[in-house]
Amino acid sequence: MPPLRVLLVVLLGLACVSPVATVATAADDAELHTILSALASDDAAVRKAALVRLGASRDARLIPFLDDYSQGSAYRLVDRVVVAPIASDGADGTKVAILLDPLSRQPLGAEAVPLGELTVLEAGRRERVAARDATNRLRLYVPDRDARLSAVTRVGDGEDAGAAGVLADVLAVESDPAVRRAAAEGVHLLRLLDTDPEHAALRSASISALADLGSARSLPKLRAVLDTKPDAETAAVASAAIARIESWQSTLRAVGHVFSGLSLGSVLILISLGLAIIFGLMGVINMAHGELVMIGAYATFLTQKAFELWLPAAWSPAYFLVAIPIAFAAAAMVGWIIEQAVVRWLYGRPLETLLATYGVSLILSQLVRSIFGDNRAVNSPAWLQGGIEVANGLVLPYARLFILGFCAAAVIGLVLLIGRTRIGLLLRATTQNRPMAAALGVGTRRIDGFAFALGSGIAGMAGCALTLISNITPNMGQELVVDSFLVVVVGGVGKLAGVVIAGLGLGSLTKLFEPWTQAVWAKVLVLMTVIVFIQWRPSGFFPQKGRLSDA
Amino acid sequence: MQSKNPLRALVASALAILGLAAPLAAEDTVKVGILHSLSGTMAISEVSCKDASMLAIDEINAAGGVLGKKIEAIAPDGASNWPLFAEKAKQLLTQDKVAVVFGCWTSSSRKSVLPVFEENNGLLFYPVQYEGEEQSLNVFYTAASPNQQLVPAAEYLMSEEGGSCKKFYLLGTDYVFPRTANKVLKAFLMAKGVPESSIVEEYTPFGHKDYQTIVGKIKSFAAGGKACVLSTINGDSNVPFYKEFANQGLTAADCPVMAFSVAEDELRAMDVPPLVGHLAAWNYFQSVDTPENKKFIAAFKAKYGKDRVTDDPIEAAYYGVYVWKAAVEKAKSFEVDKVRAAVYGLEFAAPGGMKKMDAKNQHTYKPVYIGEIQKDGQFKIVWKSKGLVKPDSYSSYLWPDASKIPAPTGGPKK
Repeated sequence: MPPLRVLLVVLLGLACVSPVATVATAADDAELHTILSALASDDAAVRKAALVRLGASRDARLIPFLDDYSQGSAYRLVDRVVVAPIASDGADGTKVAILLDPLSRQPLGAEAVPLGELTVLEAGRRERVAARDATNRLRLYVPDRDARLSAVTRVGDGEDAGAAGVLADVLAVESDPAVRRAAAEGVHLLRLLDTDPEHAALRSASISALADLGSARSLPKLRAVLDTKPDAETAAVASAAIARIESWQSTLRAVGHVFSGLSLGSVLILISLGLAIIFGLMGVINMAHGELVMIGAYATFLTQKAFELWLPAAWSPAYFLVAIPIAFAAAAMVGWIIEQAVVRWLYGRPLETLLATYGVSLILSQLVRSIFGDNRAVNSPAWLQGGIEVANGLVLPYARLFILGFCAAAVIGLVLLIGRTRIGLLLRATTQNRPMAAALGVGTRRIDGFAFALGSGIAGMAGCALTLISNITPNMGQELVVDSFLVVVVGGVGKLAGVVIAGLGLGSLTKLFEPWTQAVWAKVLVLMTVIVFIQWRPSGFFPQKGRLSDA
Repeated sequence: MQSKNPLRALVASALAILGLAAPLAAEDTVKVGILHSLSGTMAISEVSCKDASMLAIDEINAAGGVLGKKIEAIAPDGASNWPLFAEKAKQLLTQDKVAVVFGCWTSSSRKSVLPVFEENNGLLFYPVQYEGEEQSLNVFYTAASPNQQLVPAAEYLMSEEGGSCKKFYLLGTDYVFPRTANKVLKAFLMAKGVPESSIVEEYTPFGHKDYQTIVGKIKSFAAGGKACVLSTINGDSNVPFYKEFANQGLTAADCPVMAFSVAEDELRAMDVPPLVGHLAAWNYFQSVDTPENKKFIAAFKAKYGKDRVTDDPIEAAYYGVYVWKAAVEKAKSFEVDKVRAAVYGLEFAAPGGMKKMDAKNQHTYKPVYIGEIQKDGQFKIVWKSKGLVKPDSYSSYLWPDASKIPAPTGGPKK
């Protein structure tokens, strides 16, 4: 499309949009547009000044604009600024997009224009930092409480002592307790930067206030205060504050480590549950277990692609929920085929089963590599990104919380299925005494197939959950199978409770060692602990009891 | 020819054809080896390098070959198996008698084939940035030495433009490249006056997936601002690291991560939005804006598919073939010793601009770029070195006394 036509399309669009704008804001908007145009300046100082003014405008409509600007989606068209947040591939392979007004975000014309024709408003690192500062100032007054909280925190962490007034303004109107706390903390933090001797009393008061708040953010700044060699009184107050805050922080860290341990434990339990059924209940060593996890992960990837290709964009956040049963079904199907084609011919021959399933694992991982050819990315759904800040400095990521809950649900579901249903009864009967169960009319072959598919399906769901915190590769299974065997062996092969205890135990142990030994040695120490444990209890926490264990 | 046995006739005619064809082939073609992992864990990265070298060979053949001979590429599979690399290298040098080999990715595979190349006086063009501390007369290193990637990146982060960082978290996977790289980085930072208390060095096992503790540590480390992470995390571990980093509420603006092992090809496999704004240091980006690069990208995509991308090792694997061709033409010979002599000091045009081979130390003069990750998985170049940076085979930060640097190994047979 020639540039003249681009302009025409946009001007026509403008003509349509203009009457919508209300008269009252027209003057303000004109001023904002003037400031926006300054972003196209060659002078970095002018660009920065424009961003500061935008930040002070308290106009929340600028927040999405600043985001577009930071991402390089704001453009200059003759003498106005437009945004094109959603670009797509045009007919001839170039990027095209429908241009939007930066404030109203109404389309300027219905036709997509090639972005190559426009001049992008380049935002370098400095501009992006300034844009982030401006966004934070704007967010101080948005209705969304979380956004206000994060903005207040960021302003307080800044280096600009003058911003204390900005936060004091917030305190005057803010009603949410968490935001008020962060704003007060910020005011005190910024007052630390004020080294004027006349304000020494105010500064000391701020230091004590920060100690009362147990503020982690203040530690470096309090140490900096000590480094400036203040008067004896301030130094004493600051030292006492640092000691108090540090003790509070170490308590928080301990809580954090416990959470990390539980979270890692839940991941270990998830990847081991399926193995516990197959290995624990059926006595089959399934070396292809990791590959079943991988199949679940790739099923999640395909579900996401399908949502992108065939369903409206608004539905895509839900892909993950749909992916869970699909991952289960895909892995269960593959597991059932493995059982029917390979494992069932080898019952009672553990060594052959081990070798055969190892072969299957190699085939599966190379098959996936041949089909998908490359590392593939699974994007976590937006509602599982980020985390909840339970205390200042302690964030529990939603993805990890989700996996904890998912793991709990899987364990409970499985316990109910095995303990309370008819199929569970048949499963237990078959695994406890196969000839007797067969004599009483249980189709043991079908039960074997069912148990294998069930274990595989759970592995598939684990693969689906893993995509939230990790990536998917054809060889991910080989890394996982070792961990899952470790869990099952430590737990003992008798009961699912063994898997739960071993998973949580190994997870917590790893996270106990890691903070003071680093990850490499933590792994070594955990493995050594397991070796010692196995010496002490060769059959794990819950050894198989009764006649079968002697067989 | 009348024969009672049809099989014998077939064999005889096949032999006849071979007998006729073999001398012809020998006259018209020159054999070269391409030795990369086409299967196994490293295949994901190495296949792209093989593709790049093949593209260069096809282009050269289409333009008439080298010294009037067409290049015949032999590309065995190293299969991510280091001893197998040595076996395949031996086969290439002694049975196929190739004039040159382009290949290897991991330092382990390079160290594995090195004795083979030195024993048989072969020639290897190695296309991947590595930890240095090596200089063999049988290898030309067409990617970065440590001072062409690590040091400029740290310098950038310390500059005002890069955020005036004062605290550095050196995080890597536990093997030779990150360990040596961090040794160089630490020596450099301390030489610049960064106190040891502001440097943290940490390693994770291969395939590490749980970064909760480490990201927690980085978070308290970065609490006062002016902190950055220098990451030599390798391969699959990057995704869980960046995901955890974003989920615990850290952003590139608070604490940028400078990566030395994440390029465009790796970004294809990542959930990019949490990575936007983080940094990487390389000697080439797909976004380098030169006509030669546009042509190169177009040719690469035309041959291998629209969704493929180019990156630093791909560029190095591509122009390595052209460096060899130029040296052969300068030497008017395929003999290793003559070609080696011709490579020294050779200037050549690569997709990313003019480059130069060092006159002595087997490495390449290259420009250094710092790129910021964009939402489309490409890098925006935010810093560029002034001109080409001279390569150090042995880092001057680890070998302050230049006279103690070991002599190069290998070379012509005595």
